[in-house]
Amino acid sequence: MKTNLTLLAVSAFLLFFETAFAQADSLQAKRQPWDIRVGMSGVSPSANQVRRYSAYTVGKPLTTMYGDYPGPLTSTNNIGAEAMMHLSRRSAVGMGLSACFHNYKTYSSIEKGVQKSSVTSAAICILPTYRLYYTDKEIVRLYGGVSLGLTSYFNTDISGAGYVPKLAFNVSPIGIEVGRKWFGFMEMGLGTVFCGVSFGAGYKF
Amino acid sequence: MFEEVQKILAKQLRIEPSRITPESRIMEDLGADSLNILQLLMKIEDDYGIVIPDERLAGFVTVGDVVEYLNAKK
Repeated sequence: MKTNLTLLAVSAFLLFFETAFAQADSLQAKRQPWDIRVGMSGVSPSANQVRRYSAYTVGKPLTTMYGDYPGPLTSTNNIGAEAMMHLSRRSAVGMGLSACFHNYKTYSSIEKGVQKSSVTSAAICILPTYRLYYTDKEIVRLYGGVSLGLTSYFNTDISGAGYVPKLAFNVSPIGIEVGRKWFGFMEMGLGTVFCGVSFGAGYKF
Repeated sequence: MFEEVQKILAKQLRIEPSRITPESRIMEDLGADSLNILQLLMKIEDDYGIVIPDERLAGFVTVGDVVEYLNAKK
């Protein structure tokens, strides 16, 4: 019984890899019109907008000096998922969803070191995306893309007033995908969603 | 087949077709870079409906190598 299960597991494993990494002979068979991917990048610049900074700044009333102040920030960085439909070998359109969660504690300015609250905030983006493939070979693909959508903000400490969805965009002039059905990707981007490098993994089908 | 590859290469590299012979080395003689070669192969794949495995890339040194491969694929 144990041997049968082992054989079954090995067969399933081999079948999976046979399917995932098989080379198609014709271009028509190679076409995989969909891909899904998950990835992460640095902290979203727009997510920083939901953080409440120390109340007192020069020029404000002196009483604001006694407001609570925020402690160190922890962040999930920007995490996202995307589904793309390949219209042709050169172009693809799709939809992405990304989120960046922040957490920080606020402390009393009057009672030194006394924690007043723990604040979680999030910036959630929904981003229609267009991607242009500069090259699309079997294993390595180079592309660039633009995304334009909306970002919503949430904060457990401050009421929703003022946190209306804002325009979100990102431009990735260069990205690379490596792999056949399963692939890894890395792209350079600039915008309100992330600045710098984004990386992750995906699956074509 | 050679004429077709010659035409694609000339258009892509913006050079006179007469400069391209079967013995021309794609990178050294014609000044192509690796991106040009990838785009050439993509164009051939699109035109002929075939897949050229990435592993073959290193084998395409001269224009004749590409023509020979395509003739074998026919």
